[in-house]
Amino acid sequence: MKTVSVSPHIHTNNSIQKSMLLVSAALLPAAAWGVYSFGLRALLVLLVSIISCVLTEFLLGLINKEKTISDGSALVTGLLIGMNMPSTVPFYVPIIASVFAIAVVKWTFGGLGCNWMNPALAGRVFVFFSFTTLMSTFALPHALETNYVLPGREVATIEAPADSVSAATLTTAESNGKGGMVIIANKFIQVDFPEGFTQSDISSWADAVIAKYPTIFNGYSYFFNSNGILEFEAPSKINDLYHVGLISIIRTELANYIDNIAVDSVSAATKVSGTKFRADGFDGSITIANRFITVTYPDKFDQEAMAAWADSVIAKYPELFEGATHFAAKGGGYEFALPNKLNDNLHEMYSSVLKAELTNLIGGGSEEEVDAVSSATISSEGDNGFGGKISITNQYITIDYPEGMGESELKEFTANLIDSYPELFEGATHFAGRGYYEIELYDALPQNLHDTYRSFIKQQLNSFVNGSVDATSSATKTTDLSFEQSGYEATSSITDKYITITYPTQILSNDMINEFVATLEEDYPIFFEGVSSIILNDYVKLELYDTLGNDYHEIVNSIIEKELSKLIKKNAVDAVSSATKQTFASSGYGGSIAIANKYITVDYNTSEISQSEMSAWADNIIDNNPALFKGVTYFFNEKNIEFVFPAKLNDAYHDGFVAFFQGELGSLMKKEVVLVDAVSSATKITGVEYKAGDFSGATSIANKYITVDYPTGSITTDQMAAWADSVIAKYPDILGGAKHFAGATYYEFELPEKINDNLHDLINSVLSSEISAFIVENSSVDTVSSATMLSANKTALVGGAKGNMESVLSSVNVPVTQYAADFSAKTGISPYTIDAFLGNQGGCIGEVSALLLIVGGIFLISAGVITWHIPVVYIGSFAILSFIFGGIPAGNGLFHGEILTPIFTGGLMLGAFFMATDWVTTPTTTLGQVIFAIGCGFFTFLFRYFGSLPEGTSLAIILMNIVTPTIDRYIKPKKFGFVKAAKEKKR
Amino acid sequence: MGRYSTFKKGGVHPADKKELAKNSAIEVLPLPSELIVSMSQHLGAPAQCLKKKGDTVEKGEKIGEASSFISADVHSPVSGVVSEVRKVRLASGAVADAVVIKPNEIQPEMFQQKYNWMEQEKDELLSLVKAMGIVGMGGATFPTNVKLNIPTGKSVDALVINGVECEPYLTADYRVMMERAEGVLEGIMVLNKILSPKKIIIGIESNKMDAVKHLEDLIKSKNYNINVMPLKMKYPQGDEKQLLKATINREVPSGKLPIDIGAVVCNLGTAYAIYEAAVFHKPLIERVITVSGEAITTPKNILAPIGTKASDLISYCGGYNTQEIGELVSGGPMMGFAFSDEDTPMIKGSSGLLALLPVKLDTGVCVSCGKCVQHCPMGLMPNKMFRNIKFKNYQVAMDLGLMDCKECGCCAYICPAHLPLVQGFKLGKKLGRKK
Repeated sequence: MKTVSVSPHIHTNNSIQKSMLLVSAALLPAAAWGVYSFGLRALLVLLVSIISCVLTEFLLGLINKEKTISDGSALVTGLLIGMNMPSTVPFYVPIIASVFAIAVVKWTFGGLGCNWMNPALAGRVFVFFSFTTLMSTFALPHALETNYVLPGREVATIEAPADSVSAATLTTAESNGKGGMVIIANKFIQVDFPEGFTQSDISSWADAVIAKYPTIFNGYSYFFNSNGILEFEAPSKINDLYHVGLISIIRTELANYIDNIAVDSVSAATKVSGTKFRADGFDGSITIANRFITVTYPDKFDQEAMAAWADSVIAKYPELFEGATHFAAKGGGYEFALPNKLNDNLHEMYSSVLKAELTNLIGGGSEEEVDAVSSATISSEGDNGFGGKISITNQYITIDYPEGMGESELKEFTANLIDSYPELFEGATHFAGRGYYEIELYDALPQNLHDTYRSFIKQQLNSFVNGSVDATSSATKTTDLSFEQSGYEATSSITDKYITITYPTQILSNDMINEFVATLEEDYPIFFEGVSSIILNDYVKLELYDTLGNDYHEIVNSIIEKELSKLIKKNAVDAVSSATKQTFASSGYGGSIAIANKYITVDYNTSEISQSEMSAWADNIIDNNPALFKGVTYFFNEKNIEFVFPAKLNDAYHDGFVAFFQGELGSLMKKEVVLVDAVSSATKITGVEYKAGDFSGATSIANKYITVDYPTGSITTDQMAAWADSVIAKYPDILGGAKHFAGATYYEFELPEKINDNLHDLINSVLSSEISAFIVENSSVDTVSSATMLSANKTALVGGAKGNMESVLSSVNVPVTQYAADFSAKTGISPYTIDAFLGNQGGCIGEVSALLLIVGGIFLISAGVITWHIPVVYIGSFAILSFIFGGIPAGNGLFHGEILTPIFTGGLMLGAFFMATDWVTTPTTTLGQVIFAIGCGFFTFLFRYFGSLPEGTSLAIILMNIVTPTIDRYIKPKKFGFVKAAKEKKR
Repeated sequence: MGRYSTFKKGGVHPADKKELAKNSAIEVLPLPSELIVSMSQHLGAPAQCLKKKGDTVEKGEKIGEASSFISADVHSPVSGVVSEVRKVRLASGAVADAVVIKPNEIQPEMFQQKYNWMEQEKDELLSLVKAMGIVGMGGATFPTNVKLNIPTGKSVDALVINGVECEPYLTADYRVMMERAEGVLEGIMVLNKILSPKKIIIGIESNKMDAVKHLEDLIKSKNYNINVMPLKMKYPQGDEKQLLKATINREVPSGKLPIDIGAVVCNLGTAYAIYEAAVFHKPLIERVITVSGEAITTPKNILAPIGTKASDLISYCGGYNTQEIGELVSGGPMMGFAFSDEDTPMIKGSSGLLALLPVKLDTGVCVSCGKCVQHCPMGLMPNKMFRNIKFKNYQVAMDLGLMDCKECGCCAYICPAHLPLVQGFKLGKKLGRKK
């Protein structure tokens, strides 16, 4: 049957269907490589994508009554969607992408040929922004799963740095804490001993150490080297990770030994406590550690002054300081050394007492300075009671004339005064000045007498003016004065030549009173020269050389008041109040601690703790602190135990005792808990912080538990369990028999027994090294598995990394294959470029192998399905822009961008050859295609280097898809003969 | 082989299929029993029929008179009797008056005498060309005397002889070159005399290098100033615009003629016809036709009288070799016309008769692949023109350059969706002109 048709009568054997099959065929090598690289799952993703696309197309074809399934475009779309998926993506993602691509992007606009965006790309972009995380999580390609290389690392393959036993010898040298060194190298530990220890002393110490830590020092021997220095020798090279811990143990034991402390390391953890104080503008501190108390003091005190002070403190508080020595501390400050390690619970008592004493010392010292008699000119003035003044300067006393009085009256008054009170004015002369009258004493008047003289003169002047002058009274008069200072009462009573002074005996010792009397005699010779004193039960009785004139009584009383007040104030801190001070504080365990007079009552939980237990506890306290609790008895009340001291307690002790009993009560209560746990001592908690990559955490040890923080986001509990098993196996000497389990944000080991406190440092340093190595190892693997080269590079750049792509990628542990590393070493080409070109990189299933994509693209060009223009111009323009501007984000500047690696990574090859060449969505003219390709190159460059996303191919192509109709509108081919015609017209 | 020049823009590379008939020498067709001589064998107005039923005609007798400036005389190819004057449907589908001639059994020996054309003036030669009814034999059938009549004020830079024969299958010109090269060259010298061009170029595609060699040798021996230029194969190089671009690198502006750029293109077969006309005063009454195609038993190049029916040619070639015939095509497969009636007569422009095997084509939708745009030798956008014609926007299509379309068929050939683009353009031109 002949047919008749319009010319041409022959056609290419090209068809849409055939072209689609060719495109699929060209894609196959790259897709197959994706399946090889990412495993069977990649194949499943491809199949799911293809099936969903074809099925959607089929159904829509049914609905629209068009049979379009056979044109093969759905197959290509499905294949491209699959190739644009990470292999790890859940299957619903490619299904959604496929349905979106076919139904929305393609069929909404009328099916094949009518869509204005590449359906596969639109599908990819749609799911990318819908499921960004899923779409950005990539598996490690097969070639990098094992035996990969991290460029820029010295170690060829990742090894836990913890395996450094076999690595080069690490030498660790640290102070031994006692003026020497501990040096660990290979299998030797060299320990300096201070002078004064014999070799037998040192040997016994070494024996003791080895015996004490049988697991750590298992198989160790020791000897003295040619310099006579102790050296331990381990049976084999010591694991580097043990160095720090071993030094810590040796320091502790050395300190224990040298300080001659009973070595009870398990329970004798050294508490270090510090107290700050402020006195007279000086910020000081009191530090108590072990048996040493260090105080700081202002510069104005020299060591001698501090020594004197320390002596006084020791004398004053024999209960606390008996047997203590003192010396200037090396690092500044002044140091008390107690004979024994101080009970931790007493720290507060010592620090509160010393704080009070130091404050007093510093504050009191400054007061004394003010009191110092100075030979320099001193003057003072006060009113005369009659509208004028009485001024005293050196030996001169000037008195303004009171109203109505002239020179003659004043002359009479003064002469009378000097005659009547020779004690005050002996040898004085007097004369009139202009407007005043002046008395010139025999000698300069000390400043502390100015007030006395002035008030005396004022009083006499008053008597003189008012005419009631009783200059010398022979009758015996008694003048009493009582006053209060710092909460303490004192009295002074003057009769005849006797002065009776009562004073707070609890704070003022007999010595002090004697000194006080001596001070009076020295400072106020006028009144007190030749005084004698007798100290009776609670007062002191002074006997003056002569009867004190009645007129002097008040002055003397005021002197006594002034000086005694000063003394009381100075010693008020020592005050033991007769009945006033009561302290009432919480015991910290649901009751209170009350101190009043000589009684201390301590509440305790009577339902939980029996009286016998409480008795044992109290006995223990009394026995262990014989100085403080000398003669103390106790009895039980209904809810508490009451200690009875033989005498009223010094108030200064109150706070200290509260703290002490709180501590002891705490020990008692803790012991209850500890008894349940069958571990017999207080828990020391030690923590060491570590950093691993971006993650920082800590290992900490408490009792028999070790917790290790780890990044729960990137490391699973299973991985941690495996790690825990491995470290337990690796360190049987410290972790033997440990159980382990996962905590919320940490992993926990439970050892069979409480961990020796002295081993904390060792275990912490070992575990922190191990875990950080483990985290670095795992997170580095994680980096490559969750990131393409592009995203790793982008993330690093955003994080502030600088430099070329190779150095940036190697800094974030992006691995390469051994082959690439070898080839790179030979040729100098970046190993990342080589791997990216070959396809050994993370990424979507179909985009990883630049090589196979190029092969497929060349096949398509040679088959006439696509022309070379778009791929070449696209990649070329991207490369040129990358070269010119690509170095800017990495800080390399203009014309220093990289070309090869960026071209071979990401979706550029897939996009350039297979997506940007899509017939439907690209311009029809060659010039239009070139413009389109330049646009793709530009936007890809822009998105990759300056956008927030690492990859920009899809978006760039879609953007240019949108521009395509515009390009087609304005870019038309040059018509044959067109230009010529135009030229002719011009002519 | 060096790099041969060709036209730059567009074009396609169909398989040339010339091997089917290439090596068969020109055979003279035995006298058919009936000839149907159309009065419309040329571009332009049909000739005025001079005969009626029952008239006797002599071989070479004028039976149709050119009716206007662009028209051509028609001569009787044989001596015989006019059995009928009737309408006939040509291969192109056009219907024209035709004189049906029953040839006499014995034909006279005619056109043996040689005339010395060298002595004749340019105008005499020109009118001789007109009188002999010479038209372009490449297919366009433009009256040659019109083409050769150079308007005053224009001069001919280049005479380009079109020996390209870019259509697949066709080997008629090739055989003429191989067997009748001297005549061809002499015809060219006649043209030389008429046109006095500065240079003469014979353009031949590189699949006919033996013809190139043959002509070059002959030119050398005769010491003609003719340049034979091998051209890179590409369809439609045989179009005069493309040929001029390929040979003298000039573009004929849209709507203009080659003479506007100082060139005249003449088909190689036409040159031979001019030779016969000038030397023997022989009108154009027979031509070499390539009978080929996969469905023809023995493809041949046949010298047949004008008006021979397709069936005579086919049966001379051994008939069909299959029951499954796709199309009968008059001319080349790219631009020729398909027809179904085997009695359809050959005309002056019938360079070929092809019997093709059936091809199953699925027509799809346009996927904007742009291949038509990239392959259009005229730099048009067939996809856009086609879409606009489809939506009856003829004016838009015309604005896009529809009238520049030569219906060369490159777009339709290359289209992966097999859209009937040329059909659309033919329709669009017609409907667009009407408006």
